[in-house]
Amino acid sequence: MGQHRYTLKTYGLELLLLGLAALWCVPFYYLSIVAVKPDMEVFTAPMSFPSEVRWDNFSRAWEGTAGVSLGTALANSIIVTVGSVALLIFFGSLTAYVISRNRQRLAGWLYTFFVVGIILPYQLAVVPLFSSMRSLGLVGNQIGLIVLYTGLFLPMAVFLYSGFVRALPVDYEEAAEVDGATRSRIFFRIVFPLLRPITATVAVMTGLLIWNDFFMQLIFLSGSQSPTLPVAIYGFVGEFTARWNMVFAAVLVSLVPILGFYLVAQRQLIQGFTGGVKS
Amino acid sequence: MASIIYKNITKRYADGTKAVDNLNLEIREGEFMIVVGPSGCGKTTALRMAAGLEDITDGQLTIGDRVVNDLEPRDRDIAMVFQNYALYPHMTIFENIAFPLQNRNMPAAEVKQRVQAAARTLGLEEHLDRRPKHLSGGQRQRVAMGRAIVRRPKAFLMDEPLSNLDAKLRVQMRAEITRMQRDLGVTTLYVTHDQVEAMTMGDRIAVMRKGVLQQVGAPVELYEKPANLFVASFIGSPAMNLVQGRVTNGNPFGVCEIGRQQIALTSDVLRNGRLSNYHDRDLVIGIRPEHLEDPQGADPMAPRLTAKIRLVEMLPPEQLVHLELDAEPVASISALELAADVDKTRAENLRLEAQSHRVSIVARLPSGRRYTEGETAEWAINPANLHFFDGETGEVLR
Ligand SMILES: Nc1ncnc2c1ncn2[C@@H]1O[C@H](COP(=O)(O)OP(=O)(O)OP(=O)(O)O)[C@@H](O)[C@H]1O
Ligand SMILES: [Mg+2]
Repeated sequence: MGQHRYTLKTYGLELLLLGLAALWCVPFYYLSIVAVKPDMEVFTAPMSFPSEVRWDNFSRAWEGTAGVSLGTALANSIIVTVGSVALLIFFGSLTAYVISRNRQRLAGWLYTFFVVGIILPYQLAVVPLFSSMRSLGLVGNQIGLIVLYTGLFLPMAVFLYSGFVRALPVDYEEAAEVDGATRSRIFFRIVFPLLRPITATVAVMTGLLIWNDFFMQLIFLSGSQSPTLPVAIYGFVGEFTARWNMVFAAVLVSLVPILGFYLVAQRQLIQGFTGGVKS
Repeated sequence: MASIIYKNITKRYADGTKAVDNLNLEIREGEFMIVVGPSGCGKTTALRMAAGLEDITDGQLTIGDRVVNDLEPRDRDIAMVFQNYALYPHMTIFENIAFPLQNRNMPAAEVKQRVQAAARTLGLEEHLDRRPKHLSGGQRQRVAMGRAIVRRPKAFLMDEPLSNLDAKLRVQMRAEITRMQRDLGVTTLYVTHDQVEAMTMGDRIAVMRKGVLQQVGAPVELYEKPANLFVASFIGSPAMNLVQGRVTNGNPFGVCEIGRQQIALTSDVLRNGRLSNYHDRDLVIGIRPEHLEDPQGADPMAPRLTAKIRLVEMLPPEQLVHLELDAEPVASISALELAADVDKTRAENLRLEAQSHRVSIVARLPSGRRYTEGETAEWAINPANLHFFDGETGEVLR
């Protein structure tokens, strides 16, 4: 690297990029100021800096609506997300391993089947899904949502895992086989650990989609005693008035776990998107 | 310990490639067998069939006293060293070596003791807690060996285990593997395309070409009595000199004509083998580089060959003297094909020579004497050292 890393051109480019990055912060700015506005000011001067910073908005928001605190909703969201992601990783990796390593035609068809599953908009199937889930007793509780999400996102998990498994050298498995390992040992001791980068990717991608999903959670959980965060936050939006400062404060609270997770998993995430296995 | 017997083994891949063709080969108990041949000749395929990683299309494979055609790799009790070692990247060296033992549900204490013993043999003790990616090439190679020996399997299968090492390390590991094999006495099947490795390491060598076994024998046997042109050109470095010539009557025992020169044969040459059927027909004459001698040190009665000195490569304690001989190069199509299988550039040289009526040959001499490039000189040949081959079939005639 030379000493003159900063020419005028790169300097200008960097400034431009910094400016663009600042633009991304604008929504966060409004999110933050609205979250601490007094109740009335939300309607009189929504865009201005709050005349008075009301930190107690956060504690009021935390109490939630309809007797369910934001804490409970947060726990529900975590249960649903972690539960679904764990199942997705388990079934996704196992399924992808089998269909990518199997050379029979059926495996190819199964792969296509899963890819089609990604393309089809699941919203179309909401009505029949809802009625069959209700008759199974899976509406209004976390287990139902976990089952639902595992099914909905399995195609994507299988798709991501398949690409990775195909690029994985088969030598490790052959070596393990000659070393006397059984099929399941080969998968759990050799293959699954090697899939770690893509496992992180699958976890983050499906985790985010599930965490942020509103539609399915509203349909399957609204009115129940175990709402998830988006459903609980939506509780602040009434039929006649919406308490936007509460909504925004609650949104800020719900951002924290996601940000924390991203910071922890960020390296693996990037690796999973870009690279294979390095021996 | 067990023998490995290939009986009429054929392997045809799904795309129709016949990678191994009717292979018959016995690796005896405790023997170090080397399979050698040019790239793509089916060595790896043959090895992988023994490991169980490749289905056998036809024939019968026996390990010990058991036919293993339908036996899963994990039930064959053999160990394999892969070309790229295939060390599990997420496991420490200890875990890598322990893996085959843990698969057998061996008690942890015994696993530990065995892994440490193997690590001691291989000089890996300090590295047991590290990951493969933090080791050098040579160390990784040792870990792969450790993973193979720790289980005390019936046989070792090794697929070009040294090809990823630099030249110096290769020589060192060559000796180490040979020593280890002798110490352990485990039946070993070792695949390489490097004829030097083959010559130095094995008890016996099997030479393959295009899926077909050409010859099996001890290194010296292959060197001195190659069964055909292919083995003759493949084994030995520098390679055997090949020229076109004929054998005619005359002299009491016949004469070998090379270009316009004649070499008087002795009785034992013509009488052995099928050479007597080849009077007055073109055939291929092979001369090992060390069999072209300086007349001053040689038998004064030995026949002479005149050739021009083109280039001298000093390589004390010997020197390679490149000569130009007025004679017809080997031109038969099958001979060219053979040469191409051995080495692409060699075939190209042969083709170029075909037009010039000159043959380049190499003499390997002690480095003591000086030779002047450009001069024409005489070289002594003992006719008993000449090799004769049918130019079309490549079969040895003597
Ligand atoms: N999976 C496969 N499908 C089809 N053909 C194959 C397959 N594997 C190998 N072959 C072909 O079979 C022949 C023998 O291959 P093999 O790998 O056994 O050769 P090799 O002697 O080990 O060569 P090298 O020295 O390059 O490793 C080659 O022509 C190769 O292209
Ligand atoms: Mg090979």
